[in-house]
Amino acid sequence: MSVTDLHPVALGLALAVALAGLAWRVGTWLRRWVGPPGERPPTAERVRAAIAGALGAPFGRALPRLLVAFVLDALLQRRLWRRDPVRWVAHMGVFLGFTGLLLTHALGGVVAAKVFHGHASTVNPWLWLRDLFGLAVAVGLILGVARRRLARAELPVPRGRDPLFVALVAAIVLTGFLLAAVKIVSAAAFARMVTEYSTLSEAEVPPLRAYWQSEYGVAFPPGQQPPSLDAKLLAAGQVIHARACAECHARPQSAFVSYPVSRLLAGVAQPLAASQADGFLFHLHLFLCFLGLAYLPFGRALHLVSAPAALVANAGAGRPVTVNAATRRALALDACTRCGMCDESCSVRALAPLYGNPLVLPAEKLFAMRELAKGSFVRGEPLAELALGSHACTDCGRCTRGCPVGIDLEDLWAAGKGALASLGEPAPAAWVKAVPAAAWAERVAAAPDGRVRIPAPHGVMPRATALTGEPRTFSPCVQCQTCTNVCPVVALSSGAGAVDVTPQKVMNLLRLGMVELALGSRMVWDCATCYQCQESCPAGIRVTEVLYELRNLAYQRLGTLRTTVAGEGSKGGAA
Amino acid sequence: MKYALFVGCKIPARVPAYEQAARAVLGELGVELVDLEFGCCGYPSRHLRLDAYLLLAGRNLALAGARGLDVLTLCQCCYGSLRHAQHLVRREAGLDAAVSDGLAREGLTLRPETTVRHLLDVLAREVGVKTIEDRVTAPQRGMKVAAHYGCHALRPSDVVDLDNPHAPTVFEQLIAATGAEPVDWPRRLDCCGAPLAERNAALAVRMREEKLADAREAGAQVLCTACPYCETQFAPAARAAGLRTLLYPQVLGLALGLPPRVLGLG
Repeated sequence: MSVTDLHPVALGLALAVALAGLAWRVGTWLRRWVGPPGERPPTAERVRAAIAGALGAPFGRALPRLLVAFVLDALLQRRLWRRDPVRWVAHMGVFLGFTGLLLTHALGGVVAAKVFHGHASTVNPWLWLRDLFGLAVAVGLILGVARRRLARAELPVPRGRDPLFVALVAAIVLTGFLLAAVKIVSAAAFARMVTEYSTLSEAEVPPLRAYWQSEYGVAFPPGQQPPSLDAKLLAAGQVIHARACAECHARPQSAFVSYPVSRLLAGVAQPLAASQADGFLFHLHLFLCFLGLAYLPFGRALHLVSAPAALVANAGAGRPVTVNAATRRALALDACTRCGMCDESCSVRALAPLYGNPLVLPAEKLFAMRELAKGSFVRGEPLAELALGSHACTDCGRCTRGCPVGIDLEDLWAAGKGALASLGEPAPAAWVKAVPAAAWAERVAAAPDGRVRIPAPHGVMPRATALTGEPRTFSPCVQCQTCTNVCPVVALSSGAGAVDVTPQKVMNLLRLGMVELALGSRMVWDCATCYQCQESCPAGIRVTEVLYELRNLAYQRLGTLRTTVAGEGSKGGAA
Repeated sequence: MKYALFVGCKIPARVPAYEQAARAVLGELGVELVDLEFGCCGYPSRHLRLDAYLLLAGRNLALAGARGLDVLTLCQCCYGSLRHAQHLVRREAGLDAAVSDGLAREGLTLRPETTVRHLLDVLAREVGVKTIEDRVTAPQRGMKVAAHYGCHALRPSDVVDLDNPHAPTVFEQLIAATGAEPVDWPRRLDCCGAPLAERNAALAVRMREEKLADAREAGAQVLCTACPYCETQFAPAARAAGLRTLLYPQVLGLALGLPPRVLGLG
């Protein structure tokens, strides 16, 4: 049994792995849930809705929209072109090049031969097209990698970029070019073709060898060397060539990449032949292709399926609230190609290094949410980091508008915030307000490190900003209540959530040195920042600024005491 | 007149018509706009971390300053936020160092001297109310408009300076210039409630309803805003209160004879 006999086995195995992997992926799109656990739609309902949506698509009014999304957005990458033409060129080089190779070379006998009469890999245009497609892939890869190297250094490279995928594509193209070059110089390949495709007599072979050595670049071993390359022998060779070979084998110079490479290899043609390099490269090339096929559902190559699926699904999305929204969201997690363009456009990306938290950045946040949806998210610290990143978002939507695969990231962030809230990580205002001010004050007093450190939130602010720690800030207060009287929050809040202390009482608490009692107060956390109090204060006290500062202090100090406080929602549970 | 246009986060995402209308009328009035890679103004972060707020705000000031451009904001919260950051950095020794470290990561230098102005301010004082009056070709006669000032354009008055914080007139002048009739309404300087939308939704709604009822009672047909927070706060509830909301550049654009389409109107 030779290695060649293993090819169908390997191909079948790779196909089986790819199909099983894809089926598993599609299954996760119908199962995974991003959002509050209580709102999770049943999987059976999602499957039904997805099937109904997919089957209905060709007959619905949305069909033109779907086709536009598939052709312009998925195949031609319209969004990427608008955003970054350099990356578009890189992407299209790899994508079109590889697709071309797949249809005319790998599946040439199946696809191209059916469409084009007389298709053969050794005739033009197929011979030079193969090199053109291969070159397009190579240029695309080099451009992509070079661009990444020169990209902004202040942003981290998105996690999950899958260098193995890039390496596989590069290796497939590289072995392809080498294989073609080795075959050009190979005397064995020449002999094989003579045997298989011609009925030449013994005497006709030497002139043909002379011609192929001179014109086709074959490097014959000493024993097969033509006696000389004189004009007469070449002319005889040319006649035989024209009759027996020319129709089915174009000049290898048409392979404008492989041929120059073959010239470099001509000198080592004999060692290559002795070590059966062409056979080795052939098997390697094929097995790399099979490996790539099997790997398709598990790495970045998945976006060949998931990205068009996401683009078309989003284009077809009618009502925002359907059960299919859950499926589109799960699909979005896999459609992300880790390109990082959302990070570049993020309005608050400058906060990532300041917080020391990459989860401020959209691509990182998506990666973490994927882990959360998979159920492999580590509880505790990473969840708090994801919450910090999620709540730093200003919902500006630039990530969504710039996403080349059309992921509705805003929807994902909103769903993520819902999931986080049910996991005990709501927005800061919510977890502060879930506990009464007096209870917070008791917690602060009972904590081992005692009282609130004033001033200097986060240690970088000099005293002049730290109004709370400066008695002159509030000592002019004569308790005239003007601040309270003009406050719309005091005037309109009522019921169980009514403000507990008024602005004037907050000033009084500070005067009495009871800052801990102010930190968790509703007045501090329900302040509308309208500045009526500050603008109206006859003593010129910076009331609104003090309330801002108290929120800063509370966020910092109470944040460290959160885990010890009961009644702010349970931690843990599935997402 | 040339400005770096600061659209902020909310406008492109929630009120794209505001940007569209503002670009249209400013273009019509000969104000040149430059687009820079601005980010968040810092306002949402200010509740939690002063350093985060100052870094985000300082980054925008640095970007405009590096180009020697004044900033024109459409959002009053962005306006207040950028002005306040400037105010703090200028007055408090040591703050600039903390911000500069963060900016240096992007190769930027803090530019606290960058001028930040709001759309209403530029229209009233640079273009001029008189010029606007002269340019009006389709006076909006009979349109009764309640001018909603928005908090952060007026207060705190030692940081922002659109007008007198207790008795402003600039917005009414700009409305009158379009031929529309500004109405006097007691709650015109109150908060719209939008900043509380996420922290206390019920209270935010009550603040909105109070204002809408007041504007209606004063005889207004249109509630005119110049801030995306105010606009998104009022727009969904205006119809039920017998009002419609318009952004100021939409009113102005109509008066300048611009087609409703380019103003983001139907």
